[in-house]
Amino acid sequence: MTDTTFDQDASPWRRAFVLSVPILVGYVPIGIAFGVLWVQQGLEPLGAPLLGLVVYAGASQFMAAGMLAAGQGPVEIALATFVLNARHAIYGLAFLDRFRSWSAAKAYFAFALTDETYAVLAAMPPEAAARQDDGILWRVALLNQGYWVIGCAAGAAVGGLVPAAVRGLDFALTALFIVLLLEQVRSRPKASAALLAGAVAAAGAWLFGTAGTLLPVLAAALAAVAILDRRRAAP
Amino acid sequence: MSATVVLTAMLMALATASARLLPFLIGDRLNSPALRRLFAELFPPAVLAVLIVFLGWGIGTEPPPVQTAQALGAAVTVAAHLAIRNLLVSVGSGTAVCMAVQALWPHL
Repeated sequence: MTDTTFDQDASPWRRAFVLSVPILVGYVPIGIAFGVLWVQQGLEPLGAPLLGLVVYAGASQFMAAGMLAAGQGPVEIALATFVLNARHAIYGLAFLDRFRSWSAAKAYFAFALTDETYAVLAAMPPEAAARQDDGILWRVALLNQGYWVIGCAAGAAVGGLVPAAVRGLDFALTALFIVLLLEQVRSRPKASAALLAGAVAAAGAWLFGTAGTLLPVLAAALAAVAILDRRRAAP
Repeated sequence: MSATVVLTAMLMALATASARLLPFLIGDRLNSPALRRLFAELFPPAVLAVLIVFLGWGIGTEPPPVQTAQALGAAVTVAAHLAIRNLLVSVGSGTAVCMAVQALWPHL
């Protein structure tokens, strides 16, 4: 990301759009993939954009499609959703000082703080972040959710028309994370944190698998990073 | 729309919003320079690293076309970003290569 991305002369919506473009590239194809999967599971097409609108959590939505098709009940799906999304509880801490008091913008931003929105906003260079007003945060979040809902709706609309031969769209999410990580690891402490967390994640995935283990593995990785940082700071 | 789908959506929304609102409700109690450094500087790359590992972990069990496509897609993504440093180009080119390799695999 270059500083031109954060041109203060541009309108807030324009600046928010520039920031959200990478998410657009990632969210629309994955939203379409979700919508297609949802319909192919025999679920009502309108349910896909509904989940995008009120839940707005990609992994949980994919999970819900499978669980509903398998006959699981709403309570079981909601509990699994909470466990899967509990990692989002840490994301808001990075933005606490950006809102002085509660407002509709703050409430919406908190609701819409996904992995990708967090990653894009947290990846802003500190000098650029310091120049952004609070309005950028909710605008980026709103645009991102718009992309997601559009993708979900489009996928549900085309349903089974998408040929099985079209594969690889979901790689956009992996590519997005890779790029955001490259932007993040420009200092030694940050690179060390990423390496350590990646090693803990690999160990956790190797030992326990990846199904349902993201939250504990993420907690372990962050704990390891915190311990490393504490040791570094110790005299 | 069936009541089951609507109820599921509402309960999922409640579960997700609970997690996301929590830090904004009690986060002030956690505000200290050390925690700020962790949450604002060190945790973002750590979270991304964990997500990338988990996204890519299952690749070993995928068929060769998917493995090759994702490996090439990742390589192109990294190369494009190091060369041009444009998020859109990096994500788009990596994804396009991943899709193209899977589509063309029988002919490669």
